[in-house]
Amino acid sequence: MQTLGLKGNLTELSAERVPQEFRQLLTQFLEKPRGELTIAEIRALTGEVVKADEALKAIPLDRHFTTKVNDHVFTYSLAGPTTKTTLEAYIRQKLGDDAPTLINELRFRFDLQVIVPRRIEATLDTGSNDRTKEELNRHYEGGLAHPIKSICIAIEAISAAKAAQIDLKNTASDSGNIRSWGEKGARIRAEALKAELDEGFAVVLEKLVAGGIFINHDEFTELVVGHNGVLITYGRGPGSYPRWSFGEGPAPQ
Amino acid sequence: MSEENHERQLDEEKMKALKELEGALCSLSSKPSLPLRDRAMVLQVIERIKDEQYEPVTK
Repeated sequence: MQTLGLKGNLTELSAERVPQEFRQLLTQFLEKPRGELTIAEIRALTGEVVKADEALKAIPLDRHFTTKVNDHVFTYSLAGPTTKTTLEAYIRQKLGDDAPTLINELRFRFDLQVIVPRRIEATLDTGSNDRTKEELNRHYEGGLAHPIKSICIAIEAISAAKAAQIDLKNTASDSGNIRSWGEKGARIRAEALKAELDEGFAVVLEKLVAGGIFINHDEFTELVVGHNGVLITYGRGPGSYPRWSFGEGPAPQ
Repeated sequence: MSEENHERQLDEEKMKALKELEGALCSLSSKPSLPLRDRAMVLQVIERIKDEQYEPVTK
């Protein structure tokens, strides 16, 4: 089974540009007892840091990526300025006076992690903010950020299901919501799951959850992934939606 | 130059080198394209540098 996931692609693109010497020196630096670093060692590391910095400048942030997983083609792009601006606007609307601090703290993560599907054909939307694909497409075409509350619940549910070893593909529902995933109380629209979830999609979800893309579980992040038009979205933060932790889940790589 | 002065000079030189390294690491850590595992290590090193600056560097 191919397991090339979203995070793998993004990481590999930049990883190959970071000199290996840089990583080795970072490791050596951290292993040295406190107070025993020599000036020569410090300067050598500075030189490698500057090289790595230069190498990473060349990576375009708005380019599109395509990858193939289990015969499904994924096309996605890193967020451009419009997405970032609208996401910031959304946070401002939700958090009011507290927004600027959060936005400043997390701006670089938006660059890294906000990924926008080219076109949404179906949704795996969740919770009380259920939206149809038409609504979501209008949302994007209108330049608006996706509501974060429902995003949050989607991956929470996926993570909880994974922890509980629930096979998402075979999940059934009698009420439209799945409520059996432990303390998280996560919910997913089962109709959407049964209709849209296939093996390729499941692989991507696993990679997202296990692949360290949730680099900071205490702060806001947002992620949107398109898969053959299937949308999976994720987000969290100190807003009105539930705070949760991946503490019992896989650690970031 | 007395031994004490020499040590002080080394301390100052090392502090300067650490400051330069910290600046370079901060610049690097703000690059969105920095791989996540590298970013984690860079942030650790920045913390370590801050820690190092509280300690006399020559014995």
